[in-house]
Amino acid sequence: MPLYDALLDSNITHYLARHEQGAAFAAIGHARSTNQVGVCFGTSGPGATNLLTSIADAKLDSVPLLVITGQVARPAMGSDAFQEVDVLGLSLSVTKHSMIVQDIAELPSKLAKAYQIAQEGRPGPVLVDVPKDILLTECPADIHLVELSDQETESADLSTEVFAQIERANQLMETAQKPLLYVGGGVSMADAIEEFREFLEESGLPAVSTLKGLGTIPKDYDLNLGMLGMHGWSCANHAVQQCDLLIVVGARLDDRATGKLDEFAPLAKVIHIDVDAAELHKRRFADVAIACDVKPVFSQLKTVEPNQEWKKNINSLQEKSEKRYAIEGRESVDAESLLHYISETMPSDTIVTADVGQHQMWVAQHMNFAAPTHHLTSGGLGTMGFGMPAAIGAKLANPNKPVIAVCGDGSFMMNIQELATIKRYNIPVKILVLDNQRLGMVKQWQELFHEERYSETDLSDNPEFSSVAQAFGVSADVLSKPEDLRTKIGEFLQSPAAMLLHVKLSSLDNVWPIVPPNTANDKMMERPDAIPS
Amino acid sequence: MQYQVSLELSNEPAALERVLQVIRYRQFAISEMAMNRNEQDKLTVNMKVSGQHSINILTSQLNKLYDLADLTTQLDMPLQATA
Repeated sequence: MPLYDALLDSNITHYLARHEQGAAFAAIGHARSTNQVGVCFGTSGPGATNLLTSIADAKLDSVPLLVITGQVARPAMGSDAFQEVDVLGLSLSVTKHSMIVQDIAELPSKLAKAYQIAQEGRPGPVLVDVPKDILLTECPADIHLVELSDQETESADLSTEVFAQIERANQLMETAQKPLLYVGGGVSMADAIEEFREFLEESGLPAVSTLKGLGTIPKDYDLNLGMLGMHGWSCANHAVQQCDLLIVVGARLDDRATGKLDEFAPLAKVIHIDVDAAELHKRRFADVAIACDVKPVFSQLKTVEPNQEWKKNINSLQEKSEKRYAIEGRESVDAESLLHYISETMPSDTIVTADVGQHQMWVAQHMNFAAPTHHLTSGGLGTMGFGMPAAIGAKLANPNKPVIAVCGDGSFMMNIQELATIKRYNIPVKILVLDNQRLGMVKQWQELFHEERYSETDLSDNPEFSSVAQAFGVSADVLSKPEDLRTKIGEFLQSPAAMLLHVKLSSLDNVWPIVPPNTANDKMMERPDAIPS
Repeated sequence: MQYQVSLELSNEPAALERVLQVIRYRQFAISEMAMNRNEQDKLTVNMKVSGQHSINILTSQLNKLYDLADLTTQLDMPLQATA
């Protein structure tokens, strides 16, 4: 209450979400689309607990987030007071750091410290819990105010130790016959896209990307192999399995990317560069491990022309996994072709957010992005309900860029209340609900790995999403026939206001390829009707 | 493998809980622990931990804690019998 009372007299622009999880996802959307700190508030008790899922999402995806929670007054703490919960205790495993303010005099310095911690090194969420009586205390006249500032992008000088490791890395690069770059979201977060792309062009190395790294490699780069992993392109997975040197930059080699770890990149020596030393050797031993800001590293790496046999092999892998799209000629809308069509039609600076599930993987596989700041998806935690509120935050942070939220029907229902936020502030985001009336990814696993025993994945009683949107005051349309796709997508993209397009898909469509659990990445299951190459 | 772990922490709320949470989450178990608050208002913690993973998995995570001022670890060798 005191904080919101003070907001009335402040110059802070505040947006009221309809659920704290939506507020924090919007702050994450702001942060991820700008690489700046996102800020959100939650009240004590349930307000704070509602934030936890989003905070965990920010932790696993290394998002700079400042979360300020209200707490009951200090004299009431520990008494199980109304709306009291141990926020500091709850925060421990989902934040980069957290703190409680115990005196009004330390409030400015703690906020400044939290803001700094959120963005330095490997970014992450920081929570500051503020008891109510602190907020009601008269601010002392001599209080030392500290300005919150965004981190300088100037990189620190590399240490002697790092230079020595880079020298070792360069020696490996000189002798490698089949080198391959593996790029994660850390390159964009380090503001190192330009340096990376210069290195890429000069070296001519083939490159694969993680889900969070998508957009780092230019889409027209001739040795861009796309995403690796469970739903990666076969060319990316095969290249990783065949390479003799894997140069991992700004990535943590997570299990969805590596597949069965014991059989991941079996022939490769590994150079691993990441700002977080704890990620080095964590899942895969690195022959050269370099813990530092990745931005200044690229100019120090030697560019060695890859051998022609390897390049030919890469081109051959690319040809084999070339994508085929067909908008017409099907009974129902094909999600892959739809998303590819949108990707080819939308302005190049469009920001796309995704929820979690089959549609998320179709977005990753069939759309292109100008940079990772243009593709916001819940990677590590895999949080359904991420897409629409993240799009709200991204649009508020980037009012001149188009923003599209691609949602699944299951995910959309998890934060559907934020349609009210879109309407209240007239935020012109586009919402594409890909509705297959299923919890599609779970259904796919039940189909493929549980003998078609479908358990609790049928959502055929979904509401008519276009009617729901209209009830919130958001315009909407329905796309169910492939022959209407071009027209309806054209209207959708050109709509000046917020709009929801409810796309009715077949419940039979699956995501291909898929690497079965605990299987090496080159043992992918391909689409059953795929034409053998 | 069992290790002796010695830490010095800032005396901030939840500093010790955070250390214990990291140890548990990273799949290590504590068999002995002693803590003191010293004259500089720091918490000194000595413990024996064991786990299946390399101790580096744990120390690299503990090193990221903002309340941590110092950390040392060593393999906890059983005393050799003397003649």
